[in-house]
Amino acid sequence: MKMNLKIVLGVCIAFIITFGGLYLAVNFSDEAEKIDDKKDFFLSQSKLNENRILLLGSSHVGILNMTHIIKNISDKNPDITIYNLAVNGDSPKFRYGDLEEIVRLKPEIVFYGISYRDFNQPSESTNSQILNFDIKNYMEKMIPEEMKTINPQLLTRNVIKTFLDDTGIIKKPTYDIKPPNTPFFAIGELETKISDKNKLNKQLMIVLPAPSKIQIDYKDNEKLKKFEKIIKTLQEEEINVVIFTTPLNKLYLDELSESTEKSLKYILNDISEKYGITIYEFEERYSDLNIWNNVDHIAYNNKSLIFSDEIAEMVLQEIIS
Amino acid sequence: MLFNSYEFVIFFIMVLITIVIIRHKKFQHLFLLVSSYFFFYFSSNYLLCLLIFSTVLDFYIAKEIWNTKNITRKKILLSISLAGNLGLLGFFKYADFAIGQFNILGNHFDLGTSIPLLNLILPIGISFYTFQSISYTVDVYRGHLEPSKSLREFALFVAFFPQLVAGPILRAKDFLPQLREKLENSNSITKLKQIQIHHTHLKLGITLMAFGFLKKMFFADNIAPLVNEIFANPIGLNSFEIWMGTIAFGIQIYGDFSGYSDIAIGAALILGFKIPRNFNKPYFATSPSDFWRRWHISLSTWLRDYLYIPLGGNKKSEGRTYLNLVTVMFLGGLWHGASWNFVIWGMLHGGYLAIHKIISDKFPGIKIHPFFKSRIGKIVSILVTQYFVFLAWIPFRVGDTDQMLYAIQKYIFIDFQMNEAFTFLLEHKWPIGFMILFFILHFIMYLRPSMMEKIGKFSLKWWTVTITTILLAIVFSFNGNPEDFIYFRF
Repeated sequence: MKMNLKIVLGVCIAFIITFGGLYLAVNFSDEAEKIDDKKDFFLSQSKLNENRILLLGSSHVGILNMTHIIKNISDKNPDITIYNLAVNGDSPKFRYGDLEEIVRLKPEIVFYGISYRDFNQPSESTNSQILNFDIKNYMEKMIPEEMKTINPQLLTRNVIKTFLDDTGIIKKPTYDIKPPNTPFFAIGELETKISDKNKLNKQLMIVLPAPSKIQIDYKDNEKLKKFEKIIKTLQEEEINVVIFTTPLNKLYLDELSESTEKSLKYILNDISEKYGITIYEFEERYSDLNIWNNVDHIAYNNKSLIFSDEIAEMVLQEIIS
Repeated sequence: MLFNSYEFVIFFIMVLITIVIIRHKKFQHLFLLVSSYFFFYFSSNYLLCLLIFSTVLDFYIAKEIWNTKNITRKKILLSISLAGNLGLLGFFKYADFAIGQFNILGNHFDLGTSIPLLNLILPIGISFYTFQSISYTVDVYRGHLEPSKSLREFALFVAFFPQLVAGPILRAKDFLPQLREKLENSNSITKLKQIQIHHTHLKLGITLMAFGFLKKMFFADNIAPLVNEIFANPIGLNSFEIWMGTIAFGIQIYGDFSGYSDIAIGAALILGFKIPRNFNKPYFATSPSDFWRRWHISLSTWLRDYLYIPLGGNKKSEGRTYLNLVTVMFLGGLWHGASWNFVIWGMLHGGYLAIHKIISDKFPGIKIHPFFKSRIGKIVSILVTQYFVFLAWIPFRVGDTDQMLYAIQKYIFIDFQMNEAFTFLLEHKWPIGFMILFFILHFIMYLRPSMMEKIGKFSLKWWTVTITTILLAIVFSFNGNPEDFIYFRF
């Protein structure tokens, strides 16, 4: 018995060292710095008194050419400042965490860019999860929400990359293009390149989540619930909300199932009716053009300005109305 | 409930604490059974009734088989058990496949057959627990095993949670005695054994579990993206990429499945139960038959004892032996899933075994030739065997016929297009790094077969350091999304 306790103690030590190390790594890594940057931005902005327009979304929105958009808008509305608050890998579930800060900024209009993956959530009737029953939910609730969003592999890869970069073995890709008024998103040299069809075809195989695997359950979808909560809260605070779907390449669109496409259409129609929101659809608009960096991201390139142009137009139209 | 989930960790700790605190024998056994049912219910819900049906059916039929002296009656009872178990397996696993094939055939002859698919959910672990249950009834029928007197005891054998959903496939003669007080005393058959957590079992069990998690989460899950990328659509890829994908899949499936088996064996050992090992460094096999002595051992021995030998094994004509080998492997392939690609995989292995047997029979001198006894000879044997083993992994992984044929063609007829090889390696350095690490670990384990037992005997300080290192490797390579075990699908 005594020996058993010693072994258990040994296991506990292993767990403490491992998860303690993980805690330290998460809190003192670049990612943690980004969270601090986020706090600083919201704090500094809340002190300023300006007419703001916010663009929200993931990297699909992050790749907008803000220099171009700011110029187009300020030419006609010099008193308005537009910010692109896109975050890599954003989804309504994560964005919900920033909602309070966004409301505090008191923007005139919030433009929210969404895509299929924002609502990717298969219905519960899969092989491994046939019914959602109480004990299972209870056990899942025992796990802290933060634990579910940590990606330790990313930290490790960054450490290895930095090490290899420092030793000069491998050149670490840099993300040194920082578009104006885009505090949480930076662009690397790789994102500026327009890919040919061959490369796009290869990228289609590695895009995550794979478009063919995307499923949208519109009846019981946690991400959709959070999205609706965001809209509702913003509207209660008298902030106008406009939704736009982000563009996708034809290869990506072809892989989506019919039911997924229908589900997103259904969600958008429903939201538009329920909340009286205008929806701009961009997802198929440039699908055939030679402006793509990968199958779901337009290249950050002067040849791809069409998307930024039309976003600026959309913003101007909404300001007038 | 996935082994690599927080839920399992919480569940397993709860089970251990309860077993330690409440030392009443009957309660411990009953609690283990209820926990096993809960474990199954957690992921399969109402399909638990299939497990219970299979258990009750075989318990009473085996009893009847034992009690009756009439051979015909024994045979009828055995047939009922087989029909019940294989009927369940066939209905849930193969009904839609059969309907699909019937429709294709009907349309081929312009009969316009279009029977709608049933779209049944495949009950998790059904292939494993039905085989386990069948082996019990057949052993009783053959007189090799006295039937269990207690339904609770038998139910625990069928539902024992560590190995319930993906094996190893247990044999009643190995497991049931472990529930009883004294193995050699036949009078003590109803005396339950006190479940005690012994420190040597605890230490070795945790070591096995840690290595199991390492194989699954560190190796298999980190190599999976490369496999998915290559086999999502291999058409257009060159031989180098196909070879890399095939090797990566071979490692992924080994890490995934043997990792599961190690966790199962370790978890059972902590509770005081010994489950036979399921893998023994299969990628060091020197012949196809050697491979099947090292890969999924519990299935290959099951197929040998309950299919190959009843078919006549190698006791009849030469031709019949070869046919038996192919038939057994064909059914072994089909056991993995209702799909032609598994059948092709099984047939390939059946073919390998038959050809190896033909060569061994016709040229008996090869086996004892000094070259094959030498180190180089052994390396050559390993490489040749693994070339064919990995070739067979292609149909196992790729379901689409055109894609499968393309990948096989590129695997066999190497195109030597190496101009993009370096870029490929650079773009996939993360999974390739894991592949290299895997081969190093696999080689070390080949050189030191009892490595885990040795780690289990380390002083507490060094053992804690080892477990911490493994845990650090797992946690810091985890991408936040636990992957399903591949064999859960079977």
